[in-house]
Amino acid sequence: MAATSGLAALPALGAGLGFREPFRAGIFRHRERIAALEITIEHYLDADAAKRDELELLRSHFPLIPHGLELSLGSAEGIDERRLERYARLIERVSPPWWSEHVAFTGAGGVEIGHLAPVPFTPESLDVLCANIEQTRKAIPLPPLILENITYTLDWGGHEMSEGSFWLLCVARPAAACCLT
Amino acid sequence: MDWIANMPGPQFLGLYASLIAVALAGAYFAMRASPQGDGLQPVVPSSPDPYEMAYLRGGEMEVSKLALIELARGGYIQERVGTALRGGKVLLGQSEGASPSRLSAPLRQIFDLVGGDGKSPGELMRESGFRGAVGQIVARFEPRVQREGLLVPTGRKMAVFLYTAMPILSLGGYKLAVALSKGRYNVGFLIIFTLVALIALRAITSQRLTARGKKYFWQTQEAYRGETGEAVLDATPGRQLRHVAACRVVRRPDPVWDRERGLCDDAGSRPQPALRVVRLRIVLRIELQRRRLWRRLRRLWRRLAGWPRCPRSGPG
Repeated sequence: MAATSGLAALPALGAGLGFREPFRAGIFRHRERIAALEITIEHYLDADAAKRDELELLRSHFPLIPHGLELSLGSAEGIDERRLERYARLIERVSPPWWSEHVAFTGAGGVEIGHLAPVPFTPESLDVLCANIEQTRKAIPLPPLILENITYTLDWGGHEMSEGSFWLLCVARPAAACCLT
Repeated sequence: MDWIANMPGPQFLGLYASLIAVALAGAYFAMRASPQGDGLQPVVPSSPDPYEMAYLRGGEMEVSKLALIELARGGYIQERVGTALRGGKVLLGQSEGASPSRLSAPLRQIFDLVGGDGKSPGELMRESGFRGAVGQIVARFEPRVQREGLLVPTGRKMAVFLYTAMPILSLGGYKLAVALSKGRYNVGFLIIFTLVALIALRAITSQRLTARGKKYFWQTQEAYRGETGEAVLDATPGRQLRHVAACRVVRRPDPVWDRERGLCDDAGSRPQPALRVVRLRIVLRIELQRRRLWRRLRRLWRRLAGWPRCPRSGPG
């Protein structure tokens, strides 16, 4: 499967941590034992000087994996082009081995809900998702994008297939060929 | 040189100011281009040496302060309560029952110098044994710091100062001599320009850290900035010292840690060590500044009077 070859092409970094500011000193104290740090992209999009300095400090000591929260890949309205451009600039600056984003939608009708909402498991939803992934990969061709499924407590219903089948169909599509779940 | 000698005052001052600006810019870039060592930018250490950080921040003077703070924090020395004031000076003395057996050799040496009767920080720092102990601490990391290109070499500072000051003083001195020989004494601006230039040059060439050193120091400071909260919970002396050295963060009171070391009784009737440490730092700073100023005045006076130059005394 294409997804497997994509996975094999990625470098094996080892075990890493998600970066949280309160743990910064502890992270540096145990730097030798931390192979990589995952940073939240949104924390650095409108960054002030202090956050930019923090990013520079982290970048010069760890491989960084940017992780997005609010690109809203599952949104039927498509991707916010402006946000995508800012994502691209940040990812270029960090030059990570890969980056990741959730398969979810985080807004509709111009309203940001500030939460990861699950997509319905339907063929239409799959088309929307793949179109958005394609758009994202055109804007950020490298490094590879990794998809992350979300946990959710509220189910919208209306599914036409199981979650497993949805993911299998997703990674089989050319648009998402190098994406992993 | 006749055209300079005959140049009207305002025009000459314009030329002189331009020369000063160019010379100072040159000095600034020459300092920035200081040798950066052979290797790559050093990474933030997982366990920074507080004395090394203090040294990077302010040289041997900061190391001296940190050594006294470490002894005070460990409960080895304290201000002499009751007899604290002697000639307006706060005294440091050995704590009652303090056992220095676990101290490192240089700290033990300082502890012994402090003595039971107490000495002011100034008196203490004038002692050659104190400077020797501080030198021992610095010798632990100084060669590596130099090798990694974190400090501007002293020779380079002097060279930049001399090569920049020379054209400024030459031109200014020449014009001054010409003016005085012609019986003109309206040379106030010329002298002011020269003095301001020399002060600015001194400021430029007094920087201790190279660009790499500044980055290393800043990154280490930034990396451990968030450790303050943990220090209150886990008040190990080493970690507190890292705060002081890297971040100038003074430890907040920790009754358990203090009680274990006899710094605070159960009723909390004795002053909290953190407050005493803050006070100690202030006293040290005032004392050191006063000492430095007095030393400079004395040296200036000796030079003006034509006396032989005294060897430098005191750390830093």
